[in-house]
Amino acid sequence: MPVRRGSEYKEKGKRDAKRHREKQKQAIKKEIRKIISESSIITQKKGKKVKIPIREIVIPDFRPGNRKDEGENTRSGIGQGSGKKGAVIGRRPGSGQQPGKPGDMPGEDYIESEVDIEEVISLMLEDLGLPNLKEKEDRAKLETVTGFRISGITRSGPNILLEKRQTGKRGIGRFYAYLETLKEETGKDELTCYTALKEADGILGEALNLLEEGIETRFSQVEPFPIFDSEDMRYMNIKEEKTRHSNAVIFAMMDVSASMTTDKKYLARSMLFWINEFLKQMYEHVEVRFIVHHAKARFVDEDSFFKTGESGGTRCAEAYKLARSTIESQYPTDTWNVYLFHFSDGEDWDSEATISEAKKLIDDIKVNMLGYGEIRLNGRPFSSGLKNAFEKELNVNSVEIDEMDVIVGKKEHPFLGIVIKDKDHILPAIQEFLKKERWRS
Amino acid sequence: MNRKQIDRLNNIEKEISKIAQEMGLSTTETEFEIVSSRKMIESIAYRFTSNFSHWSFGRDYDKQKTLYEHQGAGIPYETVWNSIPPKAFLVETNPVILNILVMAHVYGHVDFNLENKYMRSAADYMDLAREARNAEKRFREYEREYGLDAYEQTIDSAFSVCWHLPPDLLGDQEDEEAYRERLINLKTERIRGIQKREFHQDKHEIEKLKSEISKLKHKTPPLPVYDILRYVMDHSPKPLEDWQKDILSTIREQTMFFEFQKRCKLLNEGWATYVHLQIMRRLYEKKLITPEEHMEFSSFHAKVTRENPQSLNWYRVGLKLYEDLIYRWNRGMHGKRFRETKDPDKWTTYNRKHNKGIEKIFEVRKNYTDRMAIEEFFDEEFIRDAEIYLWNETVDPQTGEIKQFIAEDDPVRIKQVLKNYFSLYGTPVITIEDGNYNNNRELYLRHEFTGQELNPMMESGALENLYYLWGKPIHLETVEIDRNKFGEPAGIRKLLHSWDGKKHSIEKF
Repeated sequence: MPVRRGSEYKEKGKRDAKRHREKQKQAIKKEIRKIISESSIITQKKGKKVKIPIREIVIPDFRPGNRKDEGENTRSGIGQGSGKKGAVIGRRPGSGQQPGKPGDMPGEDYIESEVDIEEVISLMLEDLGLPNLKEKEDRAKLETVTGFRISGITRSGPNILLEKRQTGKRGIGRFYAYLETLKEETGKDELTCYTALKEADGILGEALNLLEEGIETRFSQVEPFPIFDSEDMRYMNIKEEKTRHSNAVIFAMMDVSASMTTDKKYLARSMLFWINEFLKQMYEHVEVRFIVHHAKARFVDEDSFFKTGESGGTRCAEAYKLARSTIESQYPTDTWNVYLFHFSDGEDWDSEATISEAKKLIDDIKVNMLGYGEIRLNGRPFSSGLKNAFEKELNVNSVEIDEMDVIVGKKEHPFLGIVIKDKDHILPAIQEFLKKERWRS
Repeated sequence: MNRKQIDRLNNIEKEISKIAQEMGLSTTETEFEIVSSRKMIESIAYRFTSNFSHWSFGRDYDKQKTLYEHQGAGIPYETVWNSIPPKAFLVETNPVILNILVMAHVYGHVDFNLENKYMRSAADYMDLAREARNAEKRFREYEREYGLDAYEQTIDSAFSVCWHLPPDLLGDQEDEEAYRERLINLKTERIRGIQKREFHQDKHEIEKLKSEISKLKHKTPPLPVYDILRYVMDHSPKPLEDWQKDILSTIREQTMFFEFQKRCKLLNEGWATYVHLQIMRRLYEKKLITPEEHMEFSSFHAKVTRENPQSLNWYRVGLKLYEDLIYRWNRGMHGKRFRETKDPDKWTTYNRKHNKGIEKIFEVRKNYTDRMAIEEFFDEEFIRDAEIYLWNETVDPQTGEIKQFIAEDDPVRIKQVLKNYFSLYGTPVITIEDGNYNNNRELYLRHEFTGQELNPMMESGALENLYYLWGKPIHLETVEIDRNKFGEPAGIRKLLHSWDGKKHSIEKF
């Protein structure tokens, strides 16, 4: 007969589809610099997911296009309809519209996908952590327990995570459905149909054939057995659980004086936002204190830290002083790991005072690290800037990393200064600030 | 699908075959396999019932699956393989009437593939379904033996240039040395011819021919070649390993097979749609399908043939073409005499009662490719009636969205674009000029300018992929359109884009 049942199906597409998704993930990773520099991410409401347009991966070939139109990949085509010249027939998201434009990724179709901030972080900050972290006495020791937690059921997974009850239930359901089908199609009694299904090992087509050829009832009662199709499989979904107890405190300090323009503040906030998000994810009990300063310094809460716009003169030393007195009273360094990250444009009315405060923090208080980011847009050389003062007065080496000027304190002087000139420096700078191995003996 | 339904499909299939023969269609034993929707989706993604493994097929599988899941009931896809015997899939969970429609449609394709000159040659050419199944097994070994990276890179690279096939798919595939010899002989003959003349022995001409011959002796390829994969396979200095050559050759053959289908896509789909309309009507008249089923069929048919704002709906435009031909040839609305009375008022009543419509469409389905049909039958009236337009994209400065808008509705300009599109099917003409460039076995390609620049991003990627297969620097001569301050083309400038394995360089002439 020319119309017949087809052979069993192996679902080969799944494996290749998985491979394509892996490639997409790699592509996102390449684009991560742009994704994390999107302002909409750090100004958005809490808990919202980041939307990243993910394009399918396309094999490059010689095809017509527009040489000047490099970024946007606009297309043209043939269509049908009643519209006149100029009529709009459709829209699709443009690259300037969404955060995380995968810019030089050859691509055509978007699959809009939502990605957690946590996922972005895990993609961009692999192998990072707090540098120079020390075991402190007294308080709970720094503990790193990594466990797993079951959270819900999914349709795919490794065999070891097979949810037997759920899967079994569906398998039995399928058994009865098949038995009914057999009865309905052949008109034979239940036990005969059951015999056929049993003989055919649950393969419906074969059971039908058996019944057609004629088969003797061999059983006196129906004993249901599960029949599994790939659609019936249910697996436990597991989530990695990190339980960390750390006695570490972070001071996030930002210059909000008049010379810190919106663009500069935006860069500073981006860096601190991602450092903060990363630390929250990585270390459960890390405390973060936020300080803003101009000529005076004060503590603010997280929300206002990422939103405040102020003005006035600049005394960085004030922020360092406030941090120092707080450390002395609340976070003694014999029981706390203490980190300071400070972002400024380098204009400081009294850099001598700042240097003296920095020395106190590093040499007397012995904080784990003082990180300083100097935001200089337009790459303007700024000879009187704070970074240059640090470079002269502290015990540091000057190096160039990823096209950024970096000054690194020698051992026992955990100071790190980085000059950030544009958006593209955000990721590499964060990676420098959070290099676990730094100052490790 | 239960036994009763399968029996019914079998009965109707016999009936469809009978109706097809009554219509004058060629038929042959065709295998219809009832499969799950996933298997159907997979076969669409993999191009054959089974094929080798590659992430791009997985990507298409995912995409098709998403489309299917959002579409709701019924998967109105038809896939038929032009093999011997032809084979087609019916989806188990589709409504019965949809499967009947698919069978009727497939009978249209079967006839087209048996009768159309071009498709016949394609079927003679290879039994690709079996080949693909064998390729699956061999390729699995390659992946295991040589690693996923090398395996994928080889396939990616082959896919990058596989559409650059010889313009004449049926032409002889002469090997380079035989071809060189033939060219040299031709030129030597011409020299002899000139020397035999008593007068006008053009010394200059002889010198020119002689120098051409001595160049030919060393040049590879002797004349520019279009068939990129084949040249790379035969001449890559990398050198390619046997398994890689196997991959290149398999992908090239599969692409050839699709290229045949591409060149008759409009006529083939239009024909199958025309045939299913006739067959479904007859089945209804014979009361083999119920009025309810016939209603259901009509709505599927409407769905399949509805206009598509962003791409050419082959089913719709192809069907319209055949209907238009029937109308015009029945009334004798063609030829010189008709064109002379080109007065729209008279058209509606123009009828010379030729009744040659059916004869005409059978002839078109036998002898034409899409390009020929467009050249001859897509006149202004047809393009206007079919409401075909060209669209472009632009970035909306306010929202950052990409806006698609109708860029051209003038039938004359549209016809020109359609003609271009259907001769090249979107593949720019690229030839291999020199396989020993710089005397260093570098590869020199030339893009023949036909009005459009190349997409620079894709071009870079393609050069990198080609480098993977060739192992030496790749050069591409292409063009850039100079534009005036209004953005209008003001001339063209040649570029040489090179990739040496480490960096891209673009030299302007």
